[in-house]
Amino acid sequence: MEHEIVSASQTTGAVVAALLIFLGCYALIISEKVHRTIVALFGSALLIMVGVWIGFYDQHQAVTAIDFNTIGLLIGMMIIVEISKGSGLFQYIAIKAAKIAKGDPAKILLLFSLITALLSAFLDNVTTILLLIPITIVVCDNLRISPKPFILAEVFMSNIGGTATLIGDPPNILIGSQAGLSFMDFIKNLSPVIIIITILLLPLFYFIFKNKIVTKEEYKKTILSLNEKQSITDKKMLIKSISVIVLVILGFFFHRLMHLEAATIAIFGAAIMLFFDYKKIEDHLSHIEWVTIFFFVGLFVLVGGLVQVGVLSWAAEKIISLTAGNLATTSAFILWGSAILSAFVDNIPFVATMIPLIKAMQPVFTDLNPLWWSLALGACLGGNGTIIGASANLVATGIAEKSNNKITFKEFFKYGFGIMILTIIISNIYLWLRYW
Amino acid sequence: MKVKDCMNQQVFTIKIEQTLAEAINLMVKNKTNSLIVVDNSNQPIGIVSSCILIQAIIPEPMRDNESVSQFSSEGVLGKYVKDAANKIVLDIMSKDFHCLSPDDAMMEAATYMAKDGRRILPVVDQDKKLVGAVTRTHIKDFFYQALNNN
Repeated sequence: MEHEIVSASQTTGAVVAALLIFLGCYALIISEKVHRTIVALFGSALLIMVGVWIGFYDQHQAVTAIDFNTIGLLIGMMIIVEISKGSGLFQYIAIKAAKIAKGDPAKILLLFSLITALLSAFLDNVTTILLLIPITIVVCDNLRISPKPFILAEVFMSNIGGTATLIGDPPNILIGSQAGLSFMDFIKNLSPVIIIITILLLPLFYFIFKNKIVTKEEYKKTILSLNEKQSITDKKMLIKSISVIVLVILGFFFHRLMHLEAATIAIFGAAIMLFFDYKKIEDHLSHIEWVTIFFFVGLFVLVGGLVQVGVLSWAAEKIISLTAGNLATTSAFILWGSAILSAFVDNIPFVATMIPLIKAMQPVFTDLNPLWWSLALGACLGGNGTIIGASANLVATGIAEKSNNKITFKEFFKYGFGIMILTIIISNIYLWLRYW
Repeated sequence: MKVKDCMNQQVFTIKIEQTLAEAINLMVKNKTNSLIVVDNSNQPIGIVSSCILIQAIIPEPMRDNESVSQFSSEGVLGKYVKDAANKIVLDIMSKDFHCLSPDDAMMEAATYMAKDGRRILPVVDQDKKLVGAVTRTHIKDFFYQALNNN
C-alpha cells in the first residue's frame, strides 16, 4: 500500500523552522553524541509544536506520516526471530556446515559467507550477525586461527544478502512499504544482482583471506568431533519455529496475490509464535527492539514535516535539473550518492528522506522503479564501505572486540570500501542492462 | 538485632588500580568471595565478587550465547583467564551497592541484599569510612536464628 505523502509549499518561516529542526536532528544523529531515538522523538515532538504554532504541521498530519506497515513488519519479524533463536537452529546450521567442510578453513569461510547471505535475506542483518559471529569465533578457536577474516566476510555478506528481499534490510522495508513494492518485486529485481555479486565475491574472499586462515590437520579433526545436535535446546520449539518461518516467507511471496500487506503476514506469524510460547509472552515482548521502533516513529514524523513544507519537492527538482531529466543518469546519481553517503551515515534516515524526494520526481519520470532499485542497492550495499556504515558492522566488530579480536576502522575500510565500490559497479551495470 | 551485631569487622579490600589477577589472588589467599574497592580515604567505591570476576573473564558474546560454549576448544578457559588477568579493578568492579551504617536494622540489610547479584554490603561510619561488611552468610545466619529461636 502506498503511503500518501502530501506536499505543500509553505512560508519561508515554515521552511526555515522545519529545515533547522530536521538538519539539527540529523547532525546530532550522525555525531552520536545523543542516542538517535531520543533525537528522533524530541525532534518530532518539537517539529509538531512549531508546526502548530506557525501553521504548517499538526499532530494529525504527523500520525498520518507514520508508516505503520513498516512498524508492523519490523515488530512482527522481531518477535518471530526472538522466539526462534532460542531453539539453537542457527548454531546447528553453522556447526553442520563446518563439518560438511571437513574443518577446512577456506571451505568454512565460503559456507559461512553463503549462510550469512541467505539468512540475512530473510532475517534482519543484525540478528544474523548476533547469531552467527559467536559460533564463528568458537569454530575458529577450535581451528586455532583468527576469526577476523570470517567476521569481515560475514559482515559484508550480511549487508549484501539483506539487499535481496523486502525484509532483508530496514531500508528495503521502508522503500517497499512507501513505494508500494511487493516481496516478489524485490525478488525479481534485486535478487538477480545480489546472486551475481555473491558468486563473484566468494572467490574474492578466498583469494584475499586464504593465507590468513591456515591451520593444521589435527585442528581440522576437532571440528569433526563436534556434535551439532547438541545445539538444539528445544526440539519442539525448533519444529514450530521452522514451520512459522516457512509459513511467513511463503506468505511474503504471495502477499500481493492475497491482497495483504507484509506487516499483516509478519504480525500473523508473530502471534502464532507467541501462542506457541505463551508462558513467556512478557519476556518475548520485552525483547522487541522498542528503541529501534520508536526511532522509526520519530523519523517518520520528522520526514513528514519536511514533506509538508515542500523542501523535498524542491530537492527533487534540483536533482532532476542536475541530471537533465535523464532517468539513467538520475538512477546512477541516486545509486552512487546513496552508496557513498550510506558508508558514512545511518542509512535509515537517509532512505526515509529520499523516498518522498523520489516520489516528487513522478511528474518527470512515469516509471520510478529503477530509482527505487537504485536507492535500495546504494543504501544497503553502501553499508559495507566503513565500520560505521551499517548497524551489523558495529555489532560484529563490537562482538569481535569483546572476544579480544579487535577490528579497527582502518582494517575494515581496507577491505570494505573496495568491496563496496565493486558491488556498486556491478549494480550500476546491472541497472543499465536491465532497465535501459 | 542491628547490623553492628552481625557484621564482619575484618573486611578485605582492594584498590581501583590493582588488577583482576591480584583480585583473584587476594580472594583465594583470604578465602573470600568478595572484595570491597576503597579509595585512598578508605571509603567504599565498588565491589568485586567472584561473580564479577567470572563475568570479566568470560567474553560477553559467549555469555549472551551460553550454549555456544559447549563447542569451545580445549584450554580456551585458561586462555580467557590469562587474557583478562591485567584488567584493572576500576574497569570490572560493580558500583551497584548500598552502604549500611552499624545501627541499621537487619531488615534493611536483607532487603538491599535481595537484589540480584549482591553478596556483600559495606558498613560505613559517619564519615563514610569502611568499618565492616554484611554478607549473604550473615543474612542466612539471621534467618536460621529467627527460625530456631523465639
